Formats: sequence, structure tokens, C-alpha cells
Amino acid sequence: MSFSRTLVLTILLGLMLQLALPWWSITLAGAIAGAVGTRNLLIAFMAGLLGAALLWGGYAAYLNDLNQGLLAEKMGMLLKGIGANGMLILTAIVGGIYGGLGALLGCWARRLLRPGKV
Amino acid sequence: MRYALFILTLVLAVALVIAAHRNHPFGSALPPLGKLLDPFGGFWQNAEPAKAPKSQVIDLPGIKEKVEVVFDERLVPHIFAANHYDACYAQGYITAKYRLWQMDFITRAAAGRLSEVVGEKTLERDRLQRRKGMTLAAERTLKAWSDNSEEMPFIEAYTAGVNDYIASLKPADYPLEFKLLDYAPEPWSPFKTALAAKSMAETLCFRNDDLQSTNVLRMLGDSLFNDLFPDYPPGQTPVIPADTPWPFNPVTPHQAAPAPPPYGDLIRFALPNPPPFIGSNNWAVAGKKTTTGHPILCNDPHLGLSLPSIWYEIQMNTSECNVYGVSFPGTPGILIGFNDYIAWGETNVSHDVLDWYTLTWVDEAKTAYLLDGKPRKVEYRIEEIKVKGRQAPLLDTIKFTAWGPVVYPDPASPYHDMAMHWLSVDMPENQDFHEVGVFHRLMCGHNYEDYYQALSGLSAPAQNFVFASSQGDIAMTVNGKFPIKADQQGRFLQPGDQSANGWQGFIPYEQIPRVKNPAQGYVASANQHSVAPSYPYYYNGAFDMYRGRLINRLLSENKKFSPGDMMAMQNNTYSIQAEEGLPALMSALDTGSLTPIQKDMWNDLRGWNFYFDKNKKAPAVFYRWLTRSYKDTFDEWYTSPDSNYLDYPDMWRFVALLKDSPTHILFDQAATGKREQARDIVTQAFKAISAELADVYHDNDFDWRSEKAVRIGHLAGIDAFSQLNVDIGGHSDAINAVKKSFGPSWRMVVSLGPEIKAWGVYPGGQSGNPGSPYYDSMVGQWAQGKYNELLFVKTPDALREHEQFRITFQ
Repeated sequence: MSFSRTLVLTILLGLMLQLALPWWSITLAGAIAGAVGTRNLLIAFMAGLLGAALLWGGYAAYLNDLNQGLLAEKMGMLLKGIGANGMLILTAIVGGIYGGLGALLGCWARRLLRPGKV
Repeated sequence: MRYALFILTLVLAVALVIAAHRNHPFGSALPPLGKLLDPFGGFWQNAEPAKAPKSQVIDLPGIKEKVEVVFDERLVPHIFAANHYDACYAQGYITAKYRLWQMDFITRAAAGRLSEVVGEKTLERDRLQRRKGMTLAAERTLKAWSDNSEEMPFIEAYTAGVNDYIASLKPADYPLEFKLLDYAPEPWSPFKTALAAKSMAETLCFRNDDLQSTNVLRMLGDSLFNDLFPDYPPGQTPVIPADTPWPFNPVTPHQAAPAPPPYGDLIRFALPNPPPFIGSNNWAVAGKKTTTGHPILCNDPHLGLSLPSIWYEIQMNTSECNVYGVSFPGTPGILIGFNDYIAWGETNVSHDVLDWYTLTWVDEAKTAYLLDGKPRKVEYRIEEIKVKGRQAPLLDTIKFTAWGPVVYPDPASPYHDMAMHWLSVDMPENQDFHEVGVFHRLMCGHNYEDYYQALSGLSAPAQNFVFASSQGDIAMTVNGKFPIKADQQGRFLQPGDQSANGWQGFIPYEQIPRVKNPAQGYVASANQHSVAPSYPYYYNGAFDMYRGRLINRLLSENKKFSPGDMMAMQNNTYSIQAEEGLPALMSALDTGSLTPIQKDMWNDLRGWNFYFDKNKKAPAVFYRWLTRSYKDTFDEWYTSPDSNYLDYPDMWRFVALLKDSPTHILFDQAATGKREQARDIVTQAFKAISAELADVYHDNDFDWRSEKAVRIGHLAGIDAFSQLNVDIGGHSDAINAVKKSFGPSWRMVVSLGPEIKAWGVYPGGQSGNPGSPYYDSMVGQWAQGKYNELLFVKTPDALREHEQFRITFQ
């Protein structure tokens, strides 16, 4: 339960925050989701990671589809020849790491500030 | 303890965020990864949908009346405006929408401001740009424009359009290169348009060989120098037909050229010249020689092949004129094009308008120099160069003399003792209009008289302006401000202590070389000599020997030309250099002991028709053989420690030596004990290239295409955004002058008459965004020699079948 709650929160908050704030707001979204979604650090990290990866990877895949892979292919060449799919995976991983890291820190901070309570 | 671990993790997370936010974080080679990959703001936002966007209505406060811009299926904008001002406004907005980074990059490169965004590695380039006087030149040009010139309102409208577009951008919308280099677009200004104009001048008329020629003169002595570097090559067919009369009284130079400096040490300093591959073709054929019965005008300017392309195709329709052609991003108007009445195009003139003067310093600190017997203080100009990664900007002090800047920076160096006079840095004369106005007058021109008046505003870069009108006139003008020089003046370094050694005025506009409706029924130019030696003014420069002769040969045929013939001609890969050079090489070759591969090469060459076709091996062999023989002949140049500071003989002169003087002393190689002749050099070169090619010659994919490997490179040199190994033939001396990274940057054929029809193509695409399907959409077509029929329409409705979407400004 807390896993999917954290995951969905990361995606929704990420979507809202990123429309107004720079890219690092995905970490902020993860932090809030991690703070309110769960008290388990591992669950927080995994759910934040997966949520942010889905958000970044999913949106990138949508844009990539409209573009028929044209730009991602070139950007993939620029980054050591990883190709369009490589760019999608890299995007999901980077988004995931920053979302997961945020969720971990958010959850952790809440446990430090309000120990014992769920 | 619990807190310590948490804070450590937090700090680590913040460091990771910073690392992913900055370009080259902590000195690494990485781009700002988080920022770049973020699908909401990073590069994914530049992945344009392949499908056409929806039409838009945009409110622009600066516009006077409503403007409709219809984009056709090739993304060419057709601007319909009530007045010329609004058309320029819309042009600025639209050009920025598709080419903003290119506009920024070109003007930064011209102004010496690349280091601001790139860092240390472009610093020396930036310094040199400023020391050449580029920023001063642009300031002076802007001052002249601002002084009530005709073009200033158009430049201001264009600027407002660009800036309205920039103001509409969120960081997520920035062009991709801004994101990769991690900087933001800054507002446009008329000063930037002046920089764009100076960047064109730098490409086209900065060429200077004074130091190189002086060195070669010192190395060879007068007689051999004159033999190798004649003023006018035999067999040349000049831009203005040789039989054109000069019915005027020329201004006589009052001062003979100063003697070239005495023989002595070589000068080990030369500025990087613009590449020698800049060239172009244009011609116009009168109705009596066309299948349509009306004139046909053609132009293909050969410039650097780049992505985004140097040209942006556009139609501008106003109540004053209806005109179509190509524009130069950063400059309002159309530079090569046609309207309902006339068509025009340009090739470069390449007269020498940059001269070097030696200075006689008065004091040890070099703060004053002698001029006409009196000491004169240098003026100082301080250039501030911002460098990414540095706290404080670099301040570079440049000395200016009456001649121009002292370009070399180190006062301790003997090469600090020269000043440069370049026409493009001079304060423009006070006139009603200047270089931008010239094109706006042509855009609205109706006839030869309008063309004649329009061209009077141009000073530099000088261009051969071809002209044709629906009334049936054709014309060619070698147009620009040309310094009056005594015979040989400006060819070598000159003493700068006498003001009389300067230019002796300018050739009056009425007397510059021009021809209208010549009896031959056509006019043509291809960067060759402007006029035959009968023209009463001296000029020198760097001129092409082959393309002009071929165009004249083809156009003088007794036949009627169709637009299709003209397109075929623009794509013609025949080379007179090969026609003359190959027999000279072959007859000098010792064929006594050829190996099997040498025999194959020989047979391929014997069967060759002198066309530089992409799938043949012979052009590759010929070109290697010719250049190798050239280098082995002029080994004195190549083996000199000063090889970078010498002028090299033209290829046609080498071919003539092979044919006419096979025992010339130049064929002797100093390093060997024996006395070589042409036969030895050519044979040795043939053996050398056969050894080079031994492993690849019989491969199926060894041919002229793979040998040349044409590259259309991204402006910032990013391979992933470039087109490599383009499938095309051609040669610098063929009409289809495709070189490794230079070539026909726009091919246009205009058939005039009651109904105007035109065709064109360029090696790029309308969008500057590497994520757009229109980034390089015309490259394949261009390589195949195919054309687009240009949609020259009178109303937006006429585009109904071709319209993708439209933008309405109100």
C-alpha cells in the first residue's frame, strides 16, 4: 500500500512541480512523497525511484514517439552512441535516481523529526 | 549520529543535483545531465513532432497591420504584409523561431564573443577577431545606418520581431544548442545585424596575401616571381566580356606604387586567411538564346556547407513588392532572389581590399609612429573579453594607427610593426543607404535603372551582381568600392610612413566594370578576373581560372537554353583543369615499367571524360596525381620552415609549366643529387600515389565520392548533427563546385517573362533544430541535383494545396 501510495504521489507531484519549476523539482516531489507516503526507507527509495523513472521515461517516450525518434537517435550518438532507446533508458534512470534520492531523504527527515509516529 | 548520517546523505544529494545542473561539472566533460535529460525542460522538448503544428494567432504590439505567414510543405514561410516594415518585423520573428541559435553563434563568432559561452579554448580566436577590427567595423557600420539611412527602419523592425520571439521563450523552449552549451539567448540588436554583415565581409573580402607575396618575391627574385605569378593569365575569359569598351576618362593615380621592401629575412607572420574555397557562379541568358524567349537567370553561391544552412528561404509579399529568394539569418530582406519584374544574384569579386603597412616607431615603447615626417600617437582601444570560467574579463589593448589596427599583439615581436588597412573597417561614407538598403531596393526594383541605382550603395564585400528583367534586359556589374591603386600597389607590404602610399581614392561608380545586353546574348561570372587588361584601373586579387571559362564555353554554344538545361549546367561536373592537366601529366609520364595496378590506373585515366562523377575512380587518381606532382615541384615551398607564410602558384600555372617548360629549374628537387625534369617529378608522383592506393584501388567503394567524403558539418562541429559522406560528385573547378566542406549553398534558376517560374534547392533545411524533420530535409535532393519549384504566389489562398499551417500576427 505505502509503496504504491508513494509511487503515485511522486508521479503526480512531479508532474505538477515540473511544469513550474526546474528539473530538480523531481527530487522535491520525491521528498514530499517519501515524507507522507511511507516510513520505510527502502520502500520510499524504491517507490520514488520507480515513480520518477516512469514519469521521466514515460513523458520522454511520448515526445520521442511524436518525433519518430529523430532527435533521440542523434543525442544518443552524441553520448557515446547509446541510441534512441539508450537515451530513453538513461532519462528514466537519471529521473529515477533523483526522485528516489528525494523520497529517501524525505522519508528519513520525517522519521528524524517525528520519531515513532506513522 | 543519526543526524550526521542524514546530513551527509543530504549534502551528497545536493552535490549530485549541482553536478547534474552545470555544464562540465567539477571540470568533467559532461553536459548538464539532469537539466539536459529532463523531459519537461531538456532536449526532449526540442524533439519536434513530425506532424505539422496547428496554426497560431500571435499578438505583437509593434506591428502596424495584420500579417499572414503561410508555411508550405517545405516549411518555407510566405509572408503577406501590408507594408515593408511589417514584413521585416515578421521576417525577424520567423527567422528567430527557426534559426535563433545560428544567429547568436554567427554574431558571437564575428564579434569575438565565443569564449563567453565556450571558455578558454576560443579565447585566441576571439582576441584575433577584435584585433582585426571586427567590433569597430560593426560599430561604424551601425553609426552610418543610424544616420537616417533608408534601411534603418527595416533593421529596427526586424530586431523587434526577433526580440518579441525571444521574449516569448521559456527555458524549455530554447534551441537545443543553448541547452547543450548551457546559456540563454540574449536580445537582438541592430548592432548584431551589423556584425552579421561584417561576418559576411570577413568571409568574402578579408583575403590578403601581401606578406606571403612579399616573402615569395624575396625568395624567388623579380623575374621568377613574375613568371610564376602573372597579373593576368592567358586564356582567361573575364567577367565583363573582353571587347567591352570603356568610354570614360579614368582617374589617374598620382603616386607610383612604392618599391617592394628590400630582400631580407622572411616575415614569419600571417593572419589566417578565409578558406580559398569560397566561390560562386552566376549567369543570365537573354531571350534570344532561351527556349522561353525571355531571360533566364541562374546563381549558385559556393560557401561553407553547414547545418543549419547559411540560407533561409522566404517569400515576402507587401503592397510595395512581391519577392522570393534566400535571406541571411540576422539580416532583414532577401539577398539572392527575384520579384515580379527582375531577378538578381551574386558571386564574389575577390579584389584585394586589404593592405599591410610597415610602421616606423618613434619611441621604444611603440606609442607613436612616423607619418609624413611627423610623429603621430597611436590610439588605444580596449576590448573586454568575457571568458566562461574566469572571474574577471580579459582586457586586450589594441593600437590603432591612421592605417588601421596593429593586429599582432606582442610589442616585443618584430611583427608588431605592421598595421592593416581593410576596407570593411573604414568609416562608411555618408549616403542614403548602405549594404542592407541595396537589397531592399533590389527587392522592390522594376528594371535596369532601379538595379543601377540600388547597387550604388554597396561598398564591401564587392560582388558580381547578375541581373535579368522581364522586360528582356540582362546585365552584370562588378560592384563595390574599389580603391584606386597604382600598378602593383597593395600586392606587397608597403611602408606606412608616407600617407601617399595609401589608396588613391575610389573608382567612380560610373566607371566600375559593367555590361548590359552584350551582343553575345549572355553574361556570366565565376570569381574570375573582372575585366581584360584593357580596363584602365589596376586591380589584383585571387581569381578562379576554370569555372568561368567553362560557363562561357557552354553558353556561347549556338543553341537555345531551357530552364532544365540551366539546372543541368549548375550540376555539371566537367573540369577544364582535368581537360588541360591530365594530358600534360600523361605525356610527361614514363610508361616504361608500369606495375599491374599502375596499368589499371593508367587505363582508367585514359578512358576518363574529365567529369568529376562520384562513382568513378579516375577523378580520385587524377586529383591525387596532380596535387602530388604540384607539391613535388614546388618542394622549395613545402619544405621551407616558412611554408605557412608563402604564396603558392596557381594550379593553372603549374599545368602550363608542365606543358611548356618541362625542363624548368623548378622541377629540380634540391634534396637529390641529380637534375630532375617534369618527367621525373610526374613519374615519381604517379608511383607514389599508386603505392598509396595499392590496397584500396580495386575496392568497389573506392571512388571520387569516398575520396572526397563531403561533409555538411554542424556549425559547432557536432558530428551527430552533421551529414557526413554526402553522396555527391563535383569538384572545385567544375561548375558543380562541391568541395569537402564547401560548395553550392543555394542553386537557383529563374525564368523571367510575363509569368515568372523559378526553381531552387540548398543543402540543408528550413529549420535549424536538429530535432526537426526539416533540419536537413533538402540535402539528398541537393546531392542528386534535383530542384524544388519555388511557390511564388500573389495571395495566401494560392498556397491552399501546399499550406501546412499559418501564423497570423496582429
